Amino acid sequence: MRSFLTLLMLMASLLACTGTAVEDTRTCDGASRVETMALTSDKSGVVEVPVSLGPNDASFMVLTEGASGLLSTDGAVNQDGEVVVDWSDWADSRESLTNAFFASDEVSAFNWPVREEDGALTEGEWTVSASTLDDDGYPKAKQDVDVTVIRRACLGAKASLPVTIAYAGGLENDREVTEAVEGAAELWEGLYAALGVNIKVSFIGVDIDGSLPEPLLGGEDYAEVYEQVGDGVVVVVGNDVAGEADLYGEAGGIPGPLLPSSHSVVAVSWLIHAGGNAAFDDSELQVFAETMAHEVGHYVGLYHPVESDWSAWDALGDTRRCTSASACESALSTNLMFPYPVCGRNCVEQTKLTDGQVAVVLNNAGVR
Amino acid sequence: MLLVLSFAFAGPAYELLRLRDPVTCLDLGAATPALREELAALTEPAVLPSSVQVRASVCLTERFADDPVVHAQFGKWMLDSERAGLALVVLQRAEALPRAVALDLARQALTSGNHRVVAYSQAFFVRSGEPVVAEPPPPAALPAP
Ligand SMILES: [Zn+2]
Repeated sequence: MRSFLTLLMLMASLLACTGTAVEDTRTCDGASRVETMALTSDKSGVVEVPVSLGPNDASFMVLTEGASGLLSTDGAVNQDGEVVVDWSDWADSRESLTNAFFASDEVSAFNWPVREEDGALTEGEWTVSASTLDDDGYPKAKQDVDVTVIRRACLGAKASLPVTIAYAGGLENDREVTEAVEGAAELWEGLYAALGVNIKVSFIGVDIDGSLPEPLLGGEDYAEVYEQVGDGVVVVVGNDVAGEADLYGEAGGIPGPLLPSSHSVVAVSWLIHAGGNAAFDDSELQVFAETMAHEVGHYVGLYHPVESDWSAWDALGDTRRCTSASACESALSTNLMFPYPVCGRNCVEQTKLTDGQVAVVLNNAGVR
Repeated sequence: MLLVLSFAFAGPAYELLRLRDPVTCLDLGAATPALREELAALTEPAVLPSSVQVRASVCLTERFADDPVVHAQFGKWMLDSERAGLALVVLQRAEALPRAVALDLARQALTSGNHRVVAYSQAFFVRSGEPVVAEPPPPAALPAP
């Protein structure tokens, strides 16, 4: 048996040696090129966004913004006129690929490719279609749309995601909070680094109320906060994130927009993580770090591998399709994107991502 | 024994309140005494993740705002620094409570040794337009016969 394996390995290595090597002549520095344009939707409410892709481009994000009504992204066609992705293939699916296919106010953020299996970008003139819709979701003709196209080159060896943690409500002057946030951010940096995703965290204070609105629904101050930072992902730390039962945190989209808008942040509550005594212990810091990592995971395109009704999943091939609480906790409880912390006497550390999930993160145009 | 302890928190409210997704207190169903007891149990320090303690106190405030049993629990939190996070939640949402109850809790909170609880209490007084006083005001003078 062992000799058979050795023979197989030898054959494999011979094949590798005799194969024709394709030299990669691309410049992979993760650099971004940003282009803006003003377009108008046609009589069917459709706007066609030209995306000119060069040899180094590995991913792009198309952001469509309208002054009124709703927007959605419908799909993409490559340089040969082939449909690469179409919203209708996902409309009734129990799997989720991107929120860009769903109508949203103010801005639709479409990142492509999402997954490894979506394939690499090809050089040439692509077209991304978006729709302008009224508040009920029906097409709205002849609407002005501001478009931003971010094209990102293939990544170099040291790809990273810039992250700014913004303290709201004067929390930058609250030492107990800043120490906890810095401690959690350090754990988060280590957690992502172990997965091959480097983050660079910086800290600022922003002049907004410490009671944060849900970024998914939109917060009027969030555009200004993102404008102030101008880059990467912004995590706003407040006392609480609105909602009747409070939230650990929330991302402004899956993926989130990489330009200023009312959805352009991840919001997290320090108070809910500090527990009943409002003072962090090590296990609470760990869950706080996991919340930041989880919510930013959403912001760069990750879904929960399974939703908590056990009947909807992400669109990745390497996260298990479990269908019950016991099966899903057994298969996925250590996954960073699991929908809740799994705790008994202690909480299970949720620090793992599959290769497919890591690929989604690295395909996000904000990672460079 | 370990297995039993591992599932000691299990219950419908626990399963909802531990979710990272948005959950409203209305999702917990009817405001029955059973729900009140379950939520009260979820505010205990042993419950993990500890965020569930905080969220359970939010739902006690939202769903049982008129319940004297719950008010008594809130009163204990105001003076217990180990429950300061729960006191903060109640003070932040004190407008949901009957005004006299809210003012009484805020007055108690002013004597808490916890600086955050005191600050949240003061903020409630500012919002309510009442003077910041730790003691209840003296009873009104009887009208002249
Ligand atoms: Zn989530």
